[in-house]
Amino acid sequence: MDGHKNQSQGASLLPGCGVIVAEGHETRTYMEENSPRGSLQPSQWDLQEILERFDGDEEFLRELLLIFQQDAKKSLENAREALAEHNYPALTRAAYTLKGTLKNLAMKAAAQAAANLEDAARKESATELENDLRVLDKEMNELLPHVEARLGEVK
Amino acid sequence: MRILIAEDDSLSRTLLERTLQRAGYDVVATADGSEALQELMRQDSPRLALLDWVMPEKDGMWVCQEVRQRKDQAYTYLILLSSRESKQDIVFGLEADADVYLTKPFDVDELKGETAHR
Repeated sequence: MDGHKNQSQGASLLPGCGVIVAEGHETRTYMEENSPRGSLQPSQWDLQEILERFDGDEEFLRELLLIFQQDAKKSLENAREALAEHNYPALTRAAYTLKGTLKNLAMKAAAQAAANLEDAARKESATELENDLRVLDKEMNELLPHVEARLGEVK
Repeated sequence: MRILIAEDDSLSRTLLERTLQRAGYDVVATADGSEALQELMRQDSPRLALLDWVMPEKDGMWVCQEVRQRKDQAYTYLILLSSRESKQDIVFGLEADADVYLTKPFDVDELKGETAHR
């Protein structure tokens, strides 16, 4: 696995699954029991991938994470509102935006959850939407404390 | 080389702008399709544009179609950027007269490869 060769400082690789997490943070792996679709892997945020993409620029990562903290909550709120109003085009757009953001930050499980939500919204599949949003919510709730902690580490 | 980007999501826009600047591009950043088209219609506009497909109101595909209808300007090389990855989406994107379709997360080396001879 390539990750073993170039592991960055302050990050660790979970054996066998290529999951990078900030050092010192509690890590948990779980399979998403509520989602019968998609290919959700254990909750993950690939910090090594993202730092390599930014040439190790921690300051830039911090800048992006601050934007993420503000925007992700808003996008999730937009998705909730759109679902409550059965506004499927708005829900598709909110999920698409979140998916792009999460992919950009190598937050892979959450990005997959957003992709599932986008897919269900496009199909207007009411049965899947509630569960997909719940899964995305859960993924985001897993991620945000890690983001907060990372922001605390890098001043 | 000058490049226009159109991206409504502020995180993705910041990421694109900074990555491209670091790679040596002179970046004109816009937040929606209308603003992007306005910039691209200027005489001295960039001849290379990276457009997010999905944006509120006017999207990247709309910009592609509008630019291609204008015959009185030098050719603009249009790249659609999206997190939609299905073959159907890619074909649909290219049918809108984009030159290239790239998927997120954005890879600057991929862009450099696509634009090296432009």
